[in-house]
Amino acid sequence: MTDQLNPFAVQTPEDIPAADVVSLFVDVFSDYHNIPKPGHTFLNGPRGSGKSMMFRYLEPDCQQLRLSKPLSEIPFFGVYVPIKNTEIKLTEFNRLTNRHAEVVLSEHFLVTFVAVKFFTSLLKAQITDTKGDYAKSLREYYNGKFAQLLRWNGWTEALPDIPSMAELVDIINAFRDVFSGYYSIVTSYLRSLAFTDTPLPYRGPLFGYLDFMLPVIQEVRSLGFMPSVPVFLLIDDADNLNLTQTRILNGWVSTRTSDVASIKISTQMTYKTYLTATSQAISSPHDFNEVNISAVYTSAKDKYISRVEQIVNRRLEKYGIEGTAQQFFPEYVKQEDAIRKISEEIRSKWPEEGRGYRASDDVTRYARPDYMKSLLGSSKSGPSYRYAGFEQLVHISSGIIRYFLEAASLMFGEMRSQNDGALVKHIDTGVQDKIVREQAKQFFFGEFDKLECDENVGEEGVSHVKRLRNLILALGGMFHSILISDLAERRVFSIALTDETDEEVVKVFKLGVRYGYFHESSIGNKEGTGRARLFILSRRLAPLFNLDPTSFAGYKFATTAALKKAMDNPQKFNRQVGHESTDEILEDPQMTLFDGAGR
Amino acid sequence: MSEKVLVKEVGSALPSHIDLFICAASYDSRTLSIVSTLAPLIVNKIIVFIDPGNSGAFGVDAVRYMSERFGEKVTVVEFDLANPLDIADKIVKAISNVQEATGEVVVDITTFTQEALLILLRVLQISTLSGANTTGAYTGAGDYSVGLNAEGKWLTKGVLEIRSVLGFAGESKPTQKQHLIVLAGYEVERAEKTIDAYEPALLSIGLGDPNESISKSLFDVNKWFHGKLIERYREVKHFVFSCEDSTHTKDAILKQVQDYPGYNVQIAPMNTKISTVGVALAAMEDTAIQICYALPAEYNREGYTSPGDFAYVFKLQIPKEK
Repeated sequence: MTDQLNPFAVQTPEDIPAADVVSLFVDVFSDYHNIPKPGHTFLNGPRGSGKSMMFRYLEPDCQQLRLSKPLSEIPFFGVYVPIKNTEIKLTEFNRLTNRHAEVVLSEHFLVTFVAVKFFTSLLKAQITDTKGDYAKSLREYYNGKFAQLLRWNGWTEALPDIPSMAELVDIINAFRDVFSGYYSIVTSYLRSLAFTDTPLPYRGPLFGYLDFMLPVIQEVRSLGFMPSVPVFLLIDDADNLNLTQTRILNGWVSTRTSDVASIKISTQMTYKTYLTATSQAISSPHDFNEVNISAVYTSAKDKYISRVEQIVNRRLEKYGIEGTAQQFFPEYVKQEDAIRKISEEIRSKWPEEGRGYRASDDVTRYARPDYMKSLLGSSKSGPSYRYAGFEQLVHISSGIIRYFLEAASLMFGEMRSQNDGALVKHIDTGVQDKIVREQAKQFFFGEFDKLECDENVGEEGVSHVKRLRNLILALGGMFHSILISDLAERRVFSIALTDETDEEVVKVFKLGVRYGYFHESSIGNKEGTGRARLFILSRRLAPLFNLDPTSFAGYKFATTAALKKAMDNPQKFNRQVGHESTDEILEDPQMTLFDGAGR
Repeated sequence: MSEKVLVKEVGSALPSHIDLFICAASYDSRTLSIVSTLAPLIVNKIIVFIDPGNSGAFGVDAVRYMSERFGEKVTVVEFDLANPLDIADKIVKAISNVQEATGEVVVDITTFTQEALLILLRVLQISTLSGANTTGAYTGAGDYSVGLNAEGKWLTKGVLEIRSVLGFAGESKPTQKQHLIVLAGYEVERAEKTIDAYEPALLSIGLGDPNESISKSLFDVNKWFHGKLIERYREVKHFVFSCEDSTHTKDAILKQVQDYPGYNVQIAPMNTKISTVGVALAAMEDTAIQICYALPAEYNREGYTSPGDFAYVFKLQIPKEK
């Protein structure tokens, strides 16, 4: 067995050294231009869509390396603030619910947490201070204005001494320790609340964002070693804040102080509220800009392929593997040759039999589906379609980079064990196909078992999860039937709603969006009078239903009444699809969906 | 040190007179395994905790059985397992009402949820019962998820929330990274959700020690599930812990914490209740440790466990609060 390192192993970004981040990260900010600019921003995307890596890349150590410039010349100063699950969302906070101190203490707790991260970022920036001038000015601030600010905020105890010979790094550490100490005072206080419902007095300081955090940032920024640019507070996974903490953070967003501190908030789309502690709503674009990662890449698939290609090439290079992404994940030659042959036939017959405006349109539309259809007659032991080749794998990852990397990592592990000591230079097509099929099964069957009881029960006692599962089975089956039909557009992956009469149907789709089974977009409605919701099935499921993952193009309009029936009984729905026009079934709520089954 | 005895002979390992017996009534058929062996005359008082919304008919029948057998010695305390504050408040209130019971206290830990058990242990630590002579008792399972093969076994499904356990908030420092320690049991999904929720900088996954497991067959199941977890998470630190001796569990955890200093430590106990006691003892000794709990959406009420032939009796040496 070789000890060749896996280039696709998923690491937590905050633990990756700056040099590695800069060499591995593919700059995606032309796609998300609001993020590196001043102003508050929400960055929403499913787990694994690269949010934390983006934030890590914005930290000063990475930016200095990227631009080869000193700290004072970088365009912004990023402070990475990861919100881990129960680190600051302690159960003891529930003792304060609906009590006056809750908001004040929660804000103080958040401020101390962010302050520690601010000084941690300064440490990471490795500021050069050869003459000791910066150390001197920061020490003066510590003993002067900072000490005074603490007194104004209720802290009368003396600060720990900083020796006059202390270096800048020691003084930054002293600040970190001071805030860490204040943080501990709160956790100790919360611990004391665990088993009493009687309010206990809190004897620590109380810091607010406007009257404490921002002045500290402004003062430290004015000392010369930081650039005179906005500080970006990069709040990662803000879904992990409790409700009160979320409302407090929203209050910070509402303050319009982005010239001093711009707040960049990443969420996994389960952010608890957009209300502030005073129940005012923050909204986009008034208070913040919003970026939805999956929406960006769903509407620009070439951009996504190019991003993944750059990411893979960088990783291959870093791990000493020669060749390109396409060479490392080769196509199945026999299959692609057969598809090419079909393409040539389509091209040669196009002048007489062509359906599209150009021969190339028909090749794109029909060559691969025809090949997939040709395999259907073969026995189980005969050839089957192989999901292999870099581009196909990228399509299957459905706009979420971690899905690609996780599958690639498993493929690499499988190849390494098959290679019997030899270096892995490419991934066999059989291994590619096996892993993505396993991943699709896991995504559908494994994940659904987990979700089944997490969600609420809807009308008629059927859980939304059950309806979602049925909907996917119905649509997946129908899309496959369309793929192997003689219809003009066969690569259908999406459903556009002609109405929203049945709210339950929309809720089920939304649930699917939340768990990554669908992407949501919009499209012009049939009447040409406005937009209709468009739900695109995740292409991670393509191998499960034997679909062609290489296109988003096709969609079908459907009434919510028809979809409701599909949710109730996918088997009957699919039997019906085998007998009648899909358009009739999807668009006519009075259809003979169940009357004609089995005809 | 745990003493392993036949369930039907557990009385011989327990104190000859019990001032206070504490237990929980649930859908788990082990609810009555120990209490049904006690002669009414040797027990002064029984506190039985029950979540009526979660205990099923079996739990309700078990309370009825205890009331009939022990009469007015039984105090039934209802709590809501979904609400940790309610669990704590009800336990505190129930125990503060029996403060005269400073003699022999026996806690049947078998059918408490992990979270309720941890809260109970913390309350015992800070209440006047901390001066009592406390004995723990536990009925081992004959089988988990009865009737299913290893691959199909399940105890819980879904996770509603992952939260810190009340009373075990730990003392995390924002300057440090996270070390998550999972005591793997039979619930891969629950463990995966916990790990994914934390994405810790350092991950330790413990496997029950084959020499200190409830039985060889349970160890095999545990190992199978452990393997499933290891398959998914590559960079993992491994360790073994005892499933039947809480002091050994405590030692294994503290060693794992000390081997990797400078981290904020979160522990997710997901194995036997005896090992959960070990986790509590470790967090009481090292108060910087936080314990977390993944609240399941559904329990396998039909076939959660079948009672085993053996019970474990051990001294519950809860340290004084620091």
